[in-house]
Amino acid sequence: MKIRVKFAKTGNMRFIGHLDILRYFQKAFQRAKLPLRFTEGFHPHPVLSFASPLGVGLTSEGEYFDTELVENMDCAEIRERLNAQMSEGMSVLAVIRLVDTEKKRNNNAMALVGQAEYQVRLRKAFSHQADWEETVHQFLMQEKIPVLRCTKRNTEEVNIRPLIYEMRAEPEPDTFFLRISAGSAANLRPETVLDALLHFTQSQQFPGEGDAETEKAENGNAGTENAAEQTGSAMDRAGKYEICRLDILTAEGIPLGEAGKEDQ
Amino acid sequence: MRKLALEDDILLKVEKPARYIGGEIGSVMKDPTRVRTRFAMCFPDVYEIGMSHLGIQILYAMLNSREDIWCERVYSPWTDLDAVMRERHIPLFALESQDPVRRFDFLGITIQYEMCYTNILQILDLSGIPLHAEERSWDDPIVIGGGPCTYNPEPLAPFFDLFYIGEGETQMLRLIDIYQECRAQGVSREEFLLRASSVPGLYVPSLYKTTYHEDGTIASFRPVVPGVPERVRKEIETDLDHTWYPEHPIVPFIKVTQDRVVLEIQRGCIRGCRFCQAGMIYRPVRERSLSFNEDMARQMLDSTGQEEISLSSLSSSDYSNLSPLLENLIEECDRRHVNISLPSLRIDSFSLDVMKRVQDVRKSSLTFAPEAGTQRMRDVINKGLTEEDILHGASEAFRGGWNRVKLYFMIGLPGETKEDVQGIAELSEKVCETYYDAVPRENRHGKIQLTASSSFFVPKPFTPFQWAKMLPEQEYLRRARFLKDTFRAQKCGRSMHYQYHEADVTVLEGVLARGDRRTAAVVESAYRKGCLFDSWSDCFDRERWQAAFEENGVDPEFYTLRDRSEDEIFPWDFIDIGVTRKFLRREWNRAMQGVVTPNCRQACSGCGAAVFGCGICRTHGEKGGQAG
Repeated sequence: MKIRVKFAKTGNMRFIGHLDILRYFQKAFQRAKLPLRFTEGFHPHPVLSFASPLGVGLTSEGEYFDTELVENMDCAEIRERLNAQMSEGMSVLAVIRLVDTEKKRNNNAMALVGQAEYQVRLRKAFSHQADWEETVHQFLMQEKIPVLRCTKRNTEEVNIRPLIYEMRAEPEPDTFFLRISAGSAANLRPETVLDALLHFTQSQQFPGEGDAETEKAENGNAGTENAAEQTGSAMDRAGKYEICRLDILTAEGIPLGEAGKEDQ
Repeated sequence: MRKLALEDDILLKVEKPARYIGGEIGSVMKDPTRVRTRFAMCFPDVYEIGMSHLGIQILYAMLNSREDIWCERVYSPWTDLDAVMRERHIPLFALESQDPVRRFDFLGITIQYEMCYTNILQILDLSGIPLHAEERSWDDPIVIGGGPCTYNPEPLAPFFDLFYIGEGETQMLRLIDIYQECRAQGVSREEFLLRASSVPGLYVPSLYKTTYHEDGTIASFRPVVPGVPERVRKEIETDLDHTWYPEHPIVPFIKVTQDRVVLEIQRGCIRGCRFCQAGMIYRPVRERSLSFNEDMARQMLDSTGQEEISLSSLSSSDYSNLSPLLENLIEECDRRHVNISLPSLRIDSFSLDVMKRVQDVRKSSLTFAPEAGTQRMRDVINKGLTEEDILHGASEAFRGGWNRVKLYFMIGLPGETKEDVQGIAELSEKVCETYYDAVPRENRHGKIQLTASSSFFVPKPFTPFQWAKMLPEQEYLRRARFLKDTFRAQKCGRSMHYQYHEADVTVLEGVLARGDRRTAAVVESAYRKGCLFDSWSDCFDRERWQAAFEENGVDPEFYTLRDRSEDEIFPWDFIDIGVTRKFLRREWNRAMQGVVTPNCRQACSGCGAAVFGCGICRTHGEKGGQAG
């Protein structure tokens, strides 16, 4: 029986990396006495394929992986038994049974990923804008949102505007909702968008922003005049933004928890 | 959500933040307002090492079984976090509650190897606890040490309020009862320590005084307060079937060194190798019953979901019920897709058969520990293993499909000759040749790969070799290089890889292993100079240690290169491990004559461990266990 598990990873679990989460779930299935299917061969191991690895430091309300059990069971019971084995900060939100035919092979979680939704909050030291609603509106009005992407060889300018499907300021202070491109075709990181937004606000010289000039000058040295640089390490992320992935969706915008269900 | 002691910006900057957050499956949370005594249990090394230690998990389960006690864990912050904590004045915290260690009633530190001594001072320092016990007040936790290094606690004496000599299962709860009573009565910290000194196995260093002869050896060691026992006898659990065991071991989020559940099938060893401290201090050997081991294996796999189980003991092949236990475990583990790991097995046809069933022959290597290269030296150390045993085992292994072999040796054993060193390469060569003799060309999977490693022998307290002198560092290196050349000169030299341990760390380990109270000042100076994680070769700084010795006018050679007379008072003589000094001396003399002593199952040698009236002494011991 093939299943897709949707889970939340919150609180202190944000410090646990992707590979450790994989090992964590393997053990949780064992403890829950849920019989995973193991591969054949001398080193049998269960296969848990995750939709999209979540970086260290990020929380999530909608992570997914697919796996297979050797017997048929009630999805609600699987969820209950897994939840009895979770540590603080981890919870299984849903277990769905997947269509189990050869033809639908491309239905695996990773192949389906097309978009992701995030909530991003600016940490205090970086919040310097009151009217985010208007700023976001202006930001999205731009034809091009260029950012610098550093590869091993060189630095290139990429336009991320077409990869942002939805963006708005939330009622909570300095908080944003994002629906952006994800997956193997064009993966966009939420912090890249926020870096570009902050860069944009500085270059707009909004009234009451006394230090915008100096910051712009500092930023200007970093690269091309109107392109924001991409944030790199987990440290940079944690320093600037509190990021929560809300859900992962298909290219068509269907949450992975809905896609590939048996009755579809 | 538990509030963490460290802010996000720190946790995301340091290596492996999961080391510091706790919250693992199996970790115990309690309401601090509803417990009476808080115990911080510390392994003074990095999380991955400390989490692999069974002893702490046993005591953690035991202490937390009491509703009024909350036992939590503490490990050494790695050097990256260490720097941040000092800079920002963040006090060291326990993983479960994330509360500062200084607020606890007890700080228990397990002392597993000498090279962690500076880490112990780091733990105290970062916690804000005065390094010296005499400077502490009731505002500080009671600092108590345990583990194998407490069989000579003297180099750490000034830093601990108490040492627990022996196995923690027997008296820890009683000690806590006395503590609770003292606190309720409002007595002084000194009064508590005095009362603690009457508990079997407990040693309060501040209640004893050492005097020295002019030549630096010990003249006397005595309690300074009337009524305090002259000698401290180690504590042991006599019945390992009716005691605490971690049925719900903690499951780390990150990979740790021992990433599996550990089943301690027995404690102690019948062998009596003369260099081995564990073989003496854990006497007599006590087995856990087949049913205990089977039940515990099942329970631990159920509660953890771990993918591997390891059988732990000093010599698993000597466990009487090994065959039925493995039959049962293999079946159980096959069903669960769980691997079995079998360290410390003698290589014979039975164990090869078992290993073939539990591991991939082509991918695994076999480990032999002949310890010495010649029969003469193996008799000196009482290894009880002949060249024929080794070559026969190797031959069977090669026929079974293995072609990777690891061999462990020691250099610098007492009375070692050039032939003994050469013998290591020659024995390795014979093992290689056995491969080509045993396996016909068409059945070979490539060449044989042999790795030989040698450590330099360090004499330890409570072993027959406690009288032995060590060699100068340069001499160790000379012998190791000579051996390396000898390896190269062998016919199969290209199939053999030889490596040796660091000699400078060995010498320091030798000083601390048999050090007295005067070496404590050296440990403190070394720590003040920045020595930390000395067991990690990237961190070990020999210059700083050298300077620490000089600063305190302590000559390391006094501890390593000196001949010790038969009746010299050793710093650890006040400890009674059951095994008598008379027996150890007899073993030393037999070693010098190259005479082998039978193991406990073959014949009782009257070592003295029979005073505990348990384990193999009851089934195989001389009546009454005559000592000496």
